[in-house]
Amino acid sequence: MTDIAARPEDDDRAILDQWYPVAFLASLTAGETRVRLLGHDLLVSGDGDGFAVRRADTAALLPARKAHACLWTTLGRPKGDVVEIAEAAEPDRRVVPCGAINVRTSGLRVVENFLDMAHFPFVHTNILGAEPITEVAPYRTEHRVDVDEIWATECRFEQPQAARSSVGGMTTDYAYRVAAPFLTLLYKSCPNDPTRPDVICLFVRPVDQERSVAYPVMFLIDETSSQAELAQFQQRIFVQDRIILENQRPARLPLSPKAEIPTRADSVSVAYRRWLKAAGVRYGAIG
Amino acid sequence: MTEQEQHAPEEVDAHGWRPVALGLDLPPASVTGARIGEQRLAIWRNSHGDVRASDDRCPHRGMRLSLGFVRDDMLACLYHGWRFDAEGRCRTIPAHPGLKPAATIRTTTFPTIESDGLIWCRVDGVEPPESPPALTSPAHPTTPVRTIRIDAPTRSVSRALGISPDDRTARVNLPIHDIADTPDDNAPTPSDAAAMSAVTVVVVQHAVGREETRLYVLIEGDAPTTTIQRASRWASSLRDKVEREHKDAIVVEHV
Repeated sequence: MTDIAARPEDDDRAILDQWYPVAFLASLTAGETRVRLLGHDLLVSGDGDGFAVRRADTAALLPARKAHACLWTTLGRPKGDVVEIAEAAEPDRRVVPCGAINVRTSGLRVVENFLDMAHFPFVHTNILGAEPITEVAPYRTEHRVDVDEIWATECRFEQPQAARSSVGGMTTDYAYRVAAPFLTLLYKSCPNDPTRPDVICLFVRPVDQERSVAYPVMFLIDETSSQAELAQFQQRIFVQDRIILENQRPARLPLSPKAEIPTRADSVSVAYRRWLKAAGVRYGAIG
Repeated sequence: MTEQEQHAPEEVDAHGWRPVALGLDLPPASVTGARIGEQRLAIWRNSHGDVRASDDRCPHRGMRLSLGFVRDDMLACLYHGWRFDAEGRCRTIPAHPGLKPAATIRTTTFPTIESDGLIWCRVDGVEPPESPPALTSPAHPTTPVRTIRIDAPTRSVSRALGISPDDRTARVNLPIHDIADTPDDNAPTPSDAAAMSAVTVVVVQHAVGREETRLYVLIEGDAPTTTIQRASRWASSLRDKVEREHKDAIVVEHV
């Protein structure tokens, strides 16, 4: 069934000219897989080690890339290649895809939630935070114009169990990066290496304006935990987030500064919304 | 069914006092969700027993407050723990413990009244709100039985209860032996003589949506546990009957 309203308008270039994950590479089987991206049905077919992505309606072949444990495609003309993550190339990193998660809300809400520290004690109780330590210390938010990305740096939060490998609580340093409207990642201090941070990515495939699939991928320094343990730790956190995400109203992210009331801890969220609005993003957003 | 009944869109009337919960279903320091017309509500009770109603949306990031919790006699949002007082004003933002929230940060609140075992709320803005309808005389306190959800329009429930669609309250005389459901219960003994008399079940309807009705079931006067359980089973069978007939009616309409 074709639902035109589920697709971006032709001039929503900020959304169309982007790379999107269509599946984890490990989950793709030989034969054809049907996925929906921005209201368009796509057919993904595997032929040994390569994959082809086509539009289901016109059979037009779309660009396809393998990167960061995912298969990526685009409906437009992205300026560059799939997002570069320097740490991903380090040979001793564990690459941990955590399982695709369906979320019934706008992917922009999913990204914004990922950037939020203030919910740790309430939503990820006794893992990423715990009362009474609820304060979000001032941090720095910036729009890096040269790369057109939103960054939040100098973020700190006291956490009971920051990572699967944590023994006891620690103060965790975070840096957040929004590289595209539906693509975000964070760098957080690693319990096993004082010099190199763990990297956790959240790649979002907007299925339509109010449905998304999140692909969390971690690039970790952890020699001891099993792959399943690492993935389960993160999955548990995303499932907790989903309860919030599916109960926010409206489902689409309000871009008007007056629609929802932020506080100081939301400065990265405010910058993200402003950046989306300036880029003319309308898909998955209101006002 | 007449042509008009079949096709007239059934408006969910949001005027006046509406029953939003049995008092029994909302223990101290808890919150639940309700809906009157298009207005979604968080109904909560503080530790002293007072009931409040708020718009079911946190002004911060749009989270449903009915999924939150009650802390320090304030309604707290599950997402970031922002707390709202009885007047809907935000008093605490945990991310900034030293910050006094601006007076402009608030949720919309609505009047509530608890009487006859029911919590009533109104969202039509009529001030001062008059009292909700009395279910029984003050001399006969009610005994709450349960809240039951029926996936059918209120008019279908009214029909099954034999009341006019405008009547939101039905009084059903239930002979005890009619609602017994085990063979042993059907064998009255002389000491059950009192129980053989009828009890009056008070059923209050609330249209949650066009296809969803909530029934609040109470018994007039005091009732022993066995009678409460029997009235509860009667309500279940009423639900099953209404839902079955409603499904059949839809099939007929579409043939």
